[in-house]
Amino acid sequence: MWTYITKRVLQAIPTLLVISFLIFSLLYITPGDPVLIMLSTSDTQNMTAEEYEAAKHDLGLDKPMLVRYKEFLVNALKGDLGKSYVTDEDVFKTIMGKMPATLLLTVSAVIIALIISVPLGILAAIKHNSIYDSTATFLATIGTSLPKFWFGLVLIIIFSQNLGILPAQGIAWPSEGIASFLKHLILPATSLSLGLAATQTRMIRSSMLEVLNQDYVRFARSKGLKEYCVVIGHALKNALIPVVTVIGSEFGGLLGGAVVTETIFSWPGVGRLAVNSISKRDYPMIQGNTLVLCTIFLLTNLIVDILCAYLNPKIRLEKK
Amino acid sequence: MKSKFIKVMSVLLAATMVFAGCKNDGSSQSDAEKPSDQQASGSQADEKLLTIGTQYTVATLNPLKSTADGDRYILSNIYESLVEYDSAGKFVPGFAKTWENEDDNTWVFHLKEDSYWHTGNELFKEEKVKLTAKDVKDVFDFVADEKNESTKRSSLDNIASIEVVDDSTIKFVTKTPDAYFLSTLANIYLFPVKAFESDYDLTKSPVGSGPYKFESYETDDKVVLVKNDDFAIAPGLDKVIFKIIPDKSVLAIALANNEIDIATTIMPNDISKVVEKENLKVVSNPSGWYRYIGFNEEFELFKDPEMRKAISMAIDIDSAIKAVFNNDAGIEIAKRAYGPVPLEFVGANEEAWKKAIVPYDPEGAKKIIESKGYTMGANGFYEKDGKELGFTLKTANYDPNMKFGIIASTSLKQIGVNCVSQPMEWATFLSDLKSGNKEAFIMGGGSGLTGLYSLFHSEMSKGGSHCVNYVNPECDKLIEQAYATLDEEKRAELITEATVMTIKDNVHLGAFFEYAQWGMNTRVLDFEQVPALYFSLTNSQRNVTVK
Repeated sequence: MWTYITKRVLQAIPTLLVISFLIFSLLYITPGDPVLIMLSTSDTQNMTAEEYEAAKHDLGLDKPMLVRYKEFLVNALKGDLGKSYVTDEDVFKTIMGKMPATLLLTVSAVIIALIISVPLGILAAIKHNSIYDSTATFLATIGTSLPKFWFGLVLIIIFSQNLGILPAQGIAWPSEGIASFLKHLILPATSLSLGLAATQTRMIRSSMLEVLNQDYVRFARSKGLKEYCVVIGHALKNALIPVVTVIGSEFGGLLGGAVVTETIFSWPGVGRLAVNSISKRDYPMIQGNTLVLCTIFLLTNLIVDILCAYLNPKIRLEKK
Repeated sequence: MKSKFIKVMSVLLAATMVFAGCKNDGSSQSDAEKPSDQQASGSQADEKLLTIGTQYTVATLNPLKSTADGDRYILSNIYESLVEYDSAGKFVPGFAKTWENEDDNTWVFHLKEDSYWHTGNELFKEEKVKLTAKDVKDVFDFVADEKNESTKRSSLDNIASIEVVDDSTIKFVTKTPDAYFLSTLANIYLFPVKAFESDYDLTKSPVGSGPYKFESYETDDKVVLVKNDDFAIAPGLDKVIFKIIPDKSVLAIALANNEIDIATTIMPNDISKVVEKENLKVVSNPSGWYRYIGFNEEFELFKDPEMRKAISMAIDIDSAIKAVFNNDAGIEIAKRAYGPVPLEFVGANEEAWKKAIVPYDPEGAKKIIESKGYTMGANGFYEKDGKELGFTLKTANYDPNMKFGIIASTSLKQIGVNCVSQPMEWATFLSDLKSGNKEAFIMGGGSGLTGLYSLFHSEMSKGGSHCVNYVNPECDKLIEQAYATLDEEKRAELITEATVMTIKDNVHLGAFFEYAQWGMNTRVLDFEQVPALYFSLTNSQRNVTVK
């Protein structure tokens, strides 16, 4: 198992190198000039060519791309992702400062997705071809199709604007009261969970349908076990293996999806940071953000693989 | 297996609680998120808290480097400047109580004697240190010093000397007469120079002498200020929170939901949901923001002033304004811009502009186009030498400008000009303007006191944000003369003359002055008379507070 983990970690290094080069190249060819963004506001439109060049030199943007990439790489290897062009703050520290908010949102979204999808998926499978099945499948299709920003805005309009029971924006921490914490969390987490809940419902449904037709399930039924025991005790445990795998890979997707959700709900996480950095062409922050998110994505996949082995001894034994 | 699944769920729940416990820093947030009505009934019911929702992020709180609007909202409350100006371009006292000109080049400022640097920070600790004329000179010398890399350095190029007359009097001598010298001074924050000398980080913990002290900033979330008890005018608020809400629609909903007291922008579509609430209202920004279509005079088609004229004649601006800014509440959000200077500013002269503009006349436009040798092609667009008459009209992805772009391009297509409206992301748009990759564009700005220079002076129109490549030495001379004329009446005449010249040259197609709508709770007092955040919340003209 340890050999497997070491191998996977080592495999991640070239992946991250390729990603970092891709980000760097893409940013290089993306139109937009950080100096113009920084200096072109209503009061400073009288910027002279001299000031423009000086600001460009200060940021090191007058150096060739490959020189800048080499500098970035050398510093990144030392654990230094640079300083923001805009705020002059340390990139890694800023990202880590935002990470708890994003992880809180993402993990909450996963929990909500599981709470919705597990019962719905099971119901659809055991009541196959019934109205329950059709409804669950319909809801799952809708959930997969709806854009997150749209769903987020609809939630805000219903629960904040019309009913006035939940805040439309912002974050609260448990230290400010559990009620306030949950009130602020529920809309963004639900909005973010939509896609995953839909995918999971379909996944659990099809996985359960497959398992329910297996011989050991038939055998369990023939033993006279109650349907509850058959479904939960025998079928579900095997049906959950692909579900866990999907959750793992979707977790990385959710971190990316949080970009939209965080912007709509003014949630001060890594996603918002990314959007603001992109609009300001804050290259060090964009590069740092992407690298950190990619690393988390790779790590999550690794953890999922380990978790699958833990849940299923068969996989564990195969790996040995 | 069931127990394993439960274990996984437990781990996830535990993770949630762990992340929930990992707050970014230790600053208090409790009041920020509560609706105002909850705040009033909370444990700190007597605390006067104002929560301002703004779509602008904070770029930097460094007083040397800051240029963005979002920064200014915060910094103008932390720092004093010698003078402040209101939205109509009139100057009001800041750290300087009064001022006078000894001659056209000499400005003498009489300073307040009861301003102190903020206490309770690492820089001054609890020591009350008075601001003097020497501090002011130190700041200007520091900003002007090239090695300190201030973004405001070049604005001080016209200063010949600064003399400290006594502790409360300072004299500035300019190289040439400068009518907008006070505007330059208003943009220089008075910060303690000793912070830079002692490596104190003013960006992370700003220290000034303004009515509010900095308490905390959570990146892209909020800035918290608390009142400065040592300020000469007792601030009307105990605490001010600037809450960053990037989505403008959510800003309006947050206001309607009492989560914020002031919203910096209410979009036309959201106005009705604000005005229908008894405790809310919208107020107009006191001055309009100029929006226009700029023609790149280096693009072959627009080298000919007659073609610029023809294009200008084909667009019905009045109808476009109605279509773009129509709202259920019937509030006038935009006025037609017959000329480029905001109507509230010196030199704005609608009567003179109206005489100079070309009227809406699509048939007349067609005649001009045909007189240039264009003939109508089979696909409904004019052609010459096998080349279709058309151009791309670039706009930033700002809703009113995008709508106006679509209307303008549709109007032009109707007369046979294949105009394509192309909305773009802001950074790319700016980059295209600077690099010359444009044919025509819709832009806003130049709405400050010195906007005319940015818009039309050849020094600026050959590069920068308003780059139309307009070069007219006569116009340059008029603008320079106007900026060097301290007499307001004479300056107004010169500005009018320069603007009329640009209208006759069809440099821009003036579109509209947009009056941004502020949304506010009626519990906010003394904000409405100058509804803007470019100036401090407590100064000689207002002291914003809440009921």
